[in-house]
Amino acid sequence: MNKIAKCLALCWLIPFTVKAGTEKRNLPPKKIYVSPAGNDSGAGTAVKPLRSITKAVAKALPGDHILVMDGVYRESVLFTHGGSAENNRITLQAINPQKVVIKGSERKLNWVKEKNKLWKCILDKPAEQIMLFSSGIKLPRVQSAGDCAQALSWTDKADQRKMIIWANFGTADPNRQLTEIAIRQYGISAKENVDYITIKGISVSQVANEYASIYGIQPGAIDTKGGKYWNIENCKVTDCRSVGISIGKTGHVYEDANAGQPEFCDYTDLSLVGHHKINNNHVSRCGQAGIFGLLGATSSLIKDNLIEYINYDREYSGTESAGIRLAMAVDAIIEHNLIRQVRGKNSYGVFLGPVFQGARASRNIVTNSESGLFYLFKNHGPSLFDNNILVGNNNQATHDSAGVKMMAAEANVFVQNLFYNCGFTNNCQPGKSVATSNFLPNTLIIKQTIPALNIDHRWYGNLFIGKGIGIASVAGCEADFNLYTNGAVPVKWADFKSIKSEKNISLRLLHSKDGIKLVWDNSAMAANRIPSLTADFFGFFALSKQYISSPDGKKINIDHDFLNNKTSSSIRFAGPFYQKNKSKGNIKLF
Amino acid sequence: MMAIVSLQQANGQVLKLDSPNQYHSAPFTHPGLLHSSNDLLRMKEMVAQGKEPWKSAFQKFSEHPCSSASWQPNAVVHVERSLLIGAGKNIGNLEKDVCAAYQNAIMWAITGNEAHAITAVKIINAWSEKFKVFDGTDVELGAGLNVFKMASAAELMRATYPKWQQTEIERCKKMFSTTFYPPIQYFALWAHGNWDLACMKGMMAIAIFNDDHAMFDRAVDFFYKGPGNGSLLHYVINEEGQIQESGRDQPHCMLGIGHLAEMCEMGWNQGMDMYSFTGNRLLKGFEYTAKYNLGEEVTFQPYNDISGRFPADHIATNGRGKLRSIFEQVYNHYAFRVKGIPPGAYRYTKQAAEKLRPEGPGFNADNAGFGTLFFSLEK
Repeated sequence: MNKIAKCLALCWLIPFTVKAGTEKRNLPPKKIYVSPAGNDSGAGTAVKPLRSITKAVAKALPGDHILVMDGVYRESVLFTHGGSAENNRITLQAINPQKVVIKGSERKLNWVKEKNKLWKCILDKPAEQIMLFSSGIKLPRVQSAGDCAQALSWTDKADQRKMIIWANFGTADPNRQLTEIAIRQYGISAKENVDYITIKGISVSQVANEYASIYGIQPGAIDTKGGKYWNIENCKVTDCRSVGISIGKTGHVYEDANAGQPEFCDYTDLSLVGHHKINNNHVSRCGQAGIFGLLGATSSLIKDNLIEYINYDREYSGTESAGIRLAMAVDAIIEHNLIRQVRGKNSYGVFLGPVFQGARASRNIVTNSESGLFYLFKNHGPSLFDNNILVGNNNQATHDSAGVKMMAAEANVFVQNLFYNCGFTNNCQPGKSVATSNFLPNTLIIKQTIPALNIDHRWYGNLFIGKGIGIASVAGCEADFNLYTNGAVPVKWADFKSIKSEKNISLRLLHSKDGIKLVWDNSAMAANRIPSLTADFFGFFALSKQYISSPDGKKINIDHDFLNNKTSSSIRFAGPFYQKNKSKGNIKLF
Repeated sequence: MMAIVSLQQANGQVLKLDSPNQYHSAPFTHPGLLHSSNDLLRMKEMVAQGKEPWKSAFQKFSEHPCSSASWQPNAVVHVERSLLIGAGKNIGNLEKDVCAAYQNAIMWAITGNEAHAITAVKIINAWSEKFKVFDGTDVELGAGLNVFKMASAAELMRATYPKWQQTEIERCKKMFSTTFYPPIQYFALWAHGNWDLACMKGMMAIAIFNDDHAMFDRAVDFFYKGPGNGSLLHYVINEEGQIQESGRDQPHCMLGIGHLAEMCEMGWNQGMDMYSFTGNRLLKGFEYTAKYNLGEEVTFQPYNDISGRFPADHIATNGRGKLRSIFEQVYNHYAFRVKGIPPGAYRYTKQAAEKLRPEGPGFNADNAGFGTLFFSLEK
């Protein structure tokens, strides 16, 4: 071909040549199909699907939909590029939700039977963060082969070249049943700062990810890796070693933090972080946290998620375990999540901080969380907690735990919540005061860096059952229009227009596999005269220069209850339900 | 160790202000910030007559670079006062220019040399034309301190220099209300008292210049009963005169009581006596601070401040002895302007004034400074 012909040919080709990862494209968005029966050299069409999601992700361009057929995919999916705008996302979607499973494990055969009920296998490479599953059940790791002989469990011995595993499978034969070793560090992740990804209906399980820290790496089975504008919807994350869904940006320690260079001062533009929607996911049996992240929750919505059995085997012994664990979560909205069975001595239902100015936790149900239901740490506020149902343990008074633990967290506004056996602690950080930043409203622009104290909390229109607020008077704290029953006692320093009921309320939670109901009889409850619970009523928080407001800056008025009933009446019931439930009927909470 | 006590019911960060009293329904007197017409006349005459201490004080004042008629303004669109490393924009420009505008206005009033009037107006006009954005972590301080001096200059020029165009005056008013006022409008409840005070005195100055009585009431009400550390009784915390920042360092104490005194002087020029509130509590603060900084010992009550953020269990030696130019104003007020105050009541304030005489500039744009020239009264 002569030069002119080559040039013409090239010119003809250019409009149709699109490189993956470029933000502009000339081709219409396409669907890319993936099937366990596919082939990565295929076209990615419905009739010639690809074999791996990894291949599909590499081929996808902004606007494309990756449609994944039913099956198990043993791979780590890495987005190297994302979408380019809200209406030009890359979408990874299960054709049949929950029928697509990305597993961080490999099936392991060739087990050799040894004495004392033990089976042995050899891995080519040693790995610290591995997990062993027998028929889908995680086996606990123990110290020695001697320990293994006693129960279903496993142990290992590794050198630089290989790893020997001994396991006790009981009566099962590991070569005949499904025996899996989790080795991969993530299920779905991305390179740093890949934006506009949507993940729908995918299950991720058996990921052997490392533990996360707000001050370090934050690996999740699904991991936004610092990207922004991810939508993670209808996904299921189970049996992962540490974090289920990470929306964190890798953090670091601030050795020389001071007022001129405070912690987290390296993030200044709110538009460059977070903005995720993490909705309708089910995260269970993850070892450290359900949803975790530094910065990623900023301006994000975390809604309708079921998070349960976190740190269920208590292997994690660090201090950052929770159903939802977020830091630098400015303007985060945590709404209508069910969080239950969070275990461990430092595990909380929701753990926020440092910094969650402007955050709102609304209509969440948190129960069976061993160290506390909410832990609020280092923040200047204001933050809003409304219409939540927090159910503490009956014996919480007997050990060092609180329903709501506040440590150097100012200006927490609690409105219309139901606190059942849920006490409060409210402290400053011991020792030298540590400075905490606050920001101009709805931004990450530092306004001030001063020590956060334990002041300026509000409790209005809450229902306390069994336990009251129970803290001493602190500067700026206010409480009123609450209802106390079943032995809960109003505070002496406020609560002048609150009601203490002599009649008890019966209350019970009915857990089901994917939900929870409230069974209660509140017919004995007295209605209270409660003023309009408006942002103006809560006050102007002068340090942060804002009212209680939503991320768009609009003031928030609390005039809806848990069930979204609206009221304009000043005579109503304290707590998250405006109307009486006389017949001991069930209220579906989740 | 004595227990740290909260001397007041601590307030949080939530700003709840009662409706302020009406302190000044009559039209404001102009010029009526730190200097009345009589004050300007006195300075002019004393300097012209070569009387001391005005003569020496004027010598010092006129030699200061900011008093030069050749000063060129350096106005910008955006000023940021910030504690963050690497942040902060143009705050030095503003601080120097407001001092230059103010000092040139005084120079004009004393010497009658129109070159100073032209320079003062040129500086104000340059900023009112350009300046739009004021922010940063410490914007309350930046806005409060600088608008006080800029308004002081503007107040003098409007009253004494008819060539300053009405349209320019209106533009200046707008700059005060739209660029300087927003950062100071909510005070600074979370901070040491000098922050509130910077807001208060800046607000009071804007109010008088802009003839905004509601704003004036807001500032003065905070002086009397504001919920922050800056209200008089929260800043001079007891009858001994201990300052809310005495446990922090001495320069901030002098800064803060200087602000209080400047508010009192503005009030005085509007026909109000804020000096005498609660048995001359202001003077007690001056006496306590002067005494300690002159080398004598004072009693210290361990205490926690009104915000609860700054507990102190001993007096701070940091900056002790470095007297600031704030004492002449208060000394002259109590020694010569009001009657019946026994000399023992202002003994240390007098000593501090004498030690500094003639007073030099205020630190940067912190206080007015040059008190010997501005406030010395005939005995």
